[in-house]
Amino acid sequence: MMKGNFEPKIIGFFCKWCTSAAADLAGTSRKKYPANVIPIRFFCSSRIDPQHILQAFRNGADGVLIGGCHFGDCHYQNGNYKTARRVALLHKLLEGMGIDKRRLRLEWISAAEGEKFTKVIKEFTDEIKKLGSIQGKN
Amino acid sequence: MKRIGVFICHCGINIAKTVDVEALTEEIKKYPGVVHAENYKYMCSDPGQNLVVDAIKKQKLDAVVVAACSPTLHENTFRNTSERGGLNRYVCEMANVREQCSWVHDDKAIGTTKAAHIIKSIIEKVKYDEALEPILVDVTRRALVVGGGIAGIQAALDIANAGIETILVERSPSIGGHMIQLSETFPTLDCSQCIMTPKMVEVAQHDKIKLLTYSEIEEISGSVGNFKVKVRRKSPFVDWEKCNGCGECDLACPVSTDNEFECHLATQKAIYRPFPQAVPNRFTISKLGQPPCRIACPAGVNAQGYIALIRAGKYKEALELEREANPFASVCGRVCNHPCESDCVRGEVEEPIAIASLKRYVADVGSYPLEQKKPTGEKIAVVGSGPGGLSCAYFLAKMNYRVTVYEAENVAGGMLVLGIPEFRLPRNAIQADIDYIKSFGVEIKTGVRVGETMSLDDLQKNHRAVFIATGAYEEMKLNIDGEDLRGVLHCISFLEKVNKGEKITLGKKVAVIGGGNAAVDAARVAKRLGSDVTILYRRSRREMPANSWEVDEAEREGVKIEFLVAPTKIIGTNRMQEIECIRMELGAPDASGRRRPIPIEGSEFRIPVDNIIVAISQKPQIDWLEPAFERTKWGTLVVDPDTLETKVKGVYAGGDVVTGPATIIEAVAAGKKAAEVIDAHIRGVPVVHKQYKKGRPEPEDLKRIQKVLRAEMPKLDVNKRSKFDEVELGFEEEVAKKEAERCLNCAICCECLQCETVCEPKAIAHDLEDKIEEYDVGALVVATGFDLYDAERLKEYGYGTVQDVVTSLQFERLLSASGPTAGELKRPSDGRVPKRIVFIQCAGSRDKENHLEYCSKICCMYTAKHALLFKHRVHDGEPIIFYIDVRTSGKGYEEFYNRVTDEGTLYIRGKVSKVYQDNGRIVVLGADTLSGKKVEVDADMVVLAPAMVPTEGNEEFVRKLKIQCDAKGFLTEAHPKLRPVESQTMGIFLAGAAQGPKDIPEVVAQASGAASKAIAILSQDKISFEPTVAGVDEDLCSGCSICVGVCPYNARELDKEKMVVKVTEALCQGCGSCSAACPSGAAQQKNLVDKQIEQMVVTVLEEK
Amino acid sequence: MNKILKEKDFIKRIEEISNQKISDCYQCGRCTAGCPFAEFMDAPPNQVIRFIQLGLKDDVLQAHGPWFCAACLVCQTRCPRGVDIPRLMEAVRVLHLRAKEGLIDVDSIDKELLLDAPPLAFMSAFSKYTY
Repeated sequence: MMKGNFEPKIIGFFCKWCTSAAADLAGTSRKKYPANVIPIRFFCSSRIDPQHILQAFRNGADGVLIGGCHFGDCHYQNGNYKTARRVALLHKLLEGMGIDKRRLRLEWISAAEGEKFTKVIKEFTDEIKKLGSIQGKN
Repeated sequence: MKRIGVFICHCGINIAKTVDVEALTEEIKKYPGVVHAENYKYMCSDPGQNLVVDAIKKQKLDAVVVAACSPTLHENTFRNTSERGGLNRYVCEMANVREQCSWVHDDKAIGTTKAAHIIKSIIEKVKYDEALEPILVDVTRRALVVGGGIAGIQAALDIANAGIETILVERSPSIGGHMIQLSETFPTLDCSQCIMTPKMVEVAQHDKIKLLTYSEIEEISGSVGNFKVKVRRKSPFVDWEKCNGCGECDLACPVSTDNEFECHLATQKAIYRPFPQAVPNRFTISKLGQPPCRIACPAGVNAQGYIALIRAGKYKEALELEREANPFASVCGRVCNHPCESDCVRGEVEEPIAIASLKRYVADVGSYPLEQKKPTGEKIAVVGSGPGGLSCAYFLAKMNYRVTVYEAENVAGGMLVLGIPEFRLPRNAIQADIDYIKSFGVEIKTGVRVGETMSLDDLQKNHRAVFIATGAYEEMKLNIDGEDLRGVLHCISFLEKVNKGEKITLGKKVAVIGGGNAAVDAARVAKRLGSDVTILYRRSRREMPANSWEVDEAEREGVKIEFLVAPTKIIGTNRMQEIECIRMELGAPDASGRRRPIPIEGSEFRIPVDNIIVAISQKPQIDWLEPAFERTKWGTLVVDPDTLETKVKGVYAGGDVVTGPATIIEAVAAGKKAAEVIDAHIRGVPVVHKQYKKGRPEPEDLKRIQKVLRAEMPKLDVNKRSKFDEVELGFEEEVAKKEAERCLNCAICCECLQCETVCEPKAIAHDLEDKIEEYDVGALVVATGFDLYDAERLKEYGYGTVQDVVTSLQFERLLSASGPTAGELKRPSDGRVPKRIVFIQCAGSRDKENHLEYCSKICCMYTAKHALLFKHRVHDGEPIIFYIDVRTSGKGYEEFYNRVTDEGTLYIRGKVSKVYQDNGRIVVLGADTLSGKKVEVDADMVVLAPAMVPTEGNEEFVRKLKIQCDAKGFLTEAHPKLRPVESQTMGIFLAGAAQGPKDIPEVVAQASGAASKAIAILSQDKISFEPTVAGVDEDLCSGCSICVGVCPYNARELDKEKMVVKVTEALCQGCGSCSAACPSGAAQQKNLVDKQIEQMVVTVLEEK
Repeated sequence: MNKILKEKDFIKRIEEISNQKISDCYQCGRCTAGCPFAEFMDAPPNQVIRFIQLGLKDDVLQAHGPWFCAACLVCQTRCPRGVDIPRLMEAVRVLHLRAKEGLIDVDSIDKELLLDAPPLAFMSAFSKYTY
């Protein structure tokens, strides 16, 4: 592994009503961002079980990005509140497991926020690059 | 293993520019599971789609992945395409390689790599996709609208006009809501009733609308397309099929109560029609149950009823009503211990109503000719002509039985005649009641002692049943030395002798032993015979069983009472001379709850007395009854408490012979009960015991009642009481009527039945009960409306304390031609026409700190309207409006506001601090912020614009329907901007002010909107739901129910028998929360199961 | 036009001292309506608050209103936005006091008055009368 050439592998768990739509908007607006985040589409961020996140880390994901709707906007009333609680608890557990909790990021991005989506992808990719590979090399 | 086909779209150069589609196709071809992969320029075009169809058929594909643009654009397109190819639509997925890949990256190599990862993850997903069928639900083609205001009416008409059967449920007796209470509406000044009544009539006459008024939703279950609703049809106690709305009952009813429609500015009768144009135009009776007085009376005498009739001057009817439960009107009106008065709610204001004395008034005031009746039924025997026996005879005779009463004495009346002195109960009063009883065909045979003159067997042979009511007249003895000396008298025999007119000589000093009514009576008699009388009682005043008012009278007459004293010996030779007593102190309570008297050792003392009268209690004399009749250890007769039957079949008993010495009214009650039971047993039908629900006003409502002292019973002057003339003289008519006015009408309708007597179509139905009806409906519209914020909470504005401070709705009623003042604007306090009216906007609204934060929207406009209408009625009137803002956001509203200011209304910008009354003026303390001055205004009247709040009871109602309301109680819409008429539950729609403050045009628009949504559902035979719902693997489910709480749609519930969770698929919206929450993996969202996600994650992270 | 909102520090200072958010007030005027001393003030309570909102420092400091405030608390009880007006008035007074403008010189008080007047009068005067 050459220093400085580390390209993190990041999984994005995005809810179809808000964040995924924002990603679509970013695409339609021809924004450009690094390709490190591979998206997986859910109906709601509350479908995301912490075990999926842990599976991602176990399988080599250097970072996990979760995107849901702003509070009050969830298509299914209160799914995002559940996600928030789960991620808060999971953050605590990650430290205990020796995984830097910055590798898991939760963002609320509405369908109109193509700009914000782009910005988050860039920032998160950068951050993970700095944190290095989750496997400790680099 | 599925045969997967992958189709990669170029999308012109949109994808192909930054994704090497050819190389990608080759790579994908090699991917496990893929049997076919191709790329094409425009997959969404017809030829593109045909490629998919052909491939499915030729390659026998089981699953399809289209790598192209965002699924939000074409998922439906390609799913339809797949169906055309014969594939289940849910095994077709899209991979977004355009918006989320080709458009956002520049480098073709990077773009292609990412696209490969994305496509492979979708291939993994589709491997586990199940072929699903949309969930189809039958739709019941019927709607239900809750709420009969303008919102509900409009929604119902719209749905019904679409040809769909609609049920309209309204909880008050008529539809109309608040709009029908208004006088004129802004900005057109249309008469509210004129524009609304045609719609109301249309609802009533529409063949597709079933109108259920005076009804409420009791329970609702099910989901969209299939709701099951239970509706409670409350009983109006009037048969609406028969009622023709003539209103005679209204005129005849003697009970007035608060009128809610007139906003407490007027009264209405207990039987009422909310307003003249009510739909349906029928009368309703407000009945809260039975009043406390009636429930407290052992015989169930309808006291509220006869008091109401006294108020109306209907004394004959009052007496008849009283006698339905108790024939002894004259007697009880004088000597009943009136437990009704102890429970009288007026006692919580100042003093109870003089119920017994009012009863006496109607018994005395008129003498009505007695119609002698001749019953023809079975023969019944009654032993004993006291109140118990005669009542039983009376009630049986009324049921057509031929009753003979056997009385051992020479005169009928039992203890009434033998034990109660004439100055309390004149003989002619007793005779009046006995004559009345006899008029029903009751035969009284005096001088016949059953057990001597004839036997019980004889009676049983000649009569179908026997009722024993021989009372308790055998005196208890003191069982002390000297009790058999001359001069020792026993109370009952003493009183009997006096009542019979026999001569008795008493010495100068007389002591009466005892504390009951008999003791007090004996004492007062002895006083009248000229002696100096002292009552010796072993406990204190509080424990005396005698009626307290009798004790007071005795003392007033000069009788002395010594408490905590008991006799131990009577001393004398042949004749008594002294009595030795011991002082007592009170110890712990005994069985009667009264503190037990304990002698104080060594405290004996002697009193010289000439006579003592022993009045310490009585017991029944039942030695003449065979041993088959079980006795209690106190010597009373044992009977079944429910049927009053003794151990010998066909022989019943009641009154003092069963209970020991008790009250007259309890004996009457026993006689009545026995009569009912005997009748039931003879006819072989079950005995019916009525259960009464207590109705009474709330304690808070009592605070507003002005105190009026209880009528005082005029009494014979104390110095004139040497003879046996009646001491209590009875009320005069005005006094009786005034006392009757104090009655609070606790149960409202008192069942005096005056309405029944005047109702020609015989529509009155006091026994009509509520009934529950069940309806199947496909959709609901909730239009439960609003109320005004309780103005009493605006304490500084004087509502409730200053009479001329009214709410806007009350002002509407004052302006209304059909209102309490027939449209003439008059002050509630004195009827004067107000010259200056101050209107206060934002009374309770926009007040986050103390009341409600939001703006109620309609008040600025209706206050402007009020000012204008005021000016129209009172040409030199001065309207002043205190405002913070004037919000005129509708069509024609700003123009209307300008008109109002033009025609002479003064607007002052400032929120009023306080309104109070000072020397007859109403003072309003306000401010004008525009000029920076504090402002004080003298007003004739003040009108408050209280906030609009959701109707009372809305929050519990909303819970029944499982829809949501916000923190203030307004119904929550699915989306505030785009879905304002839908609740968060499919199939339940919202309309009107229940969803938030709004004016009439908005309400009507919303109602039509909600109706159209309902029609959309109901015009389909079936509705379909996406099948990507969550299920339950019952093998894995442990019944922990974590998923149940997590579901926002209440789609999951625990089956308590099987201990697994069940899902109502029609309610599940497919968010997947349960699947994430489930600890065992039993809950899985279809086509997005954990396995699929895991595979996708692994695939995405693979090295290229 | 020109003076408004220049003195943002002044607004912040008042907010700091009184622990109130000046934007809470929506100028309904209820405080003025209920103030027993409003008629004696040159600028009644709601106007003083308006001056603060607009950052008109001179108008605030020249107003007599804050000195007439008896802290009767009617305004605070009835304010629909929960603004603690007496605290705002106190904040204005405190600004004056901290500037040490014209504090009362005890030696220059009339000797007769010193003997006659109740101590409470002096306490209030020391607190309030600085001009």
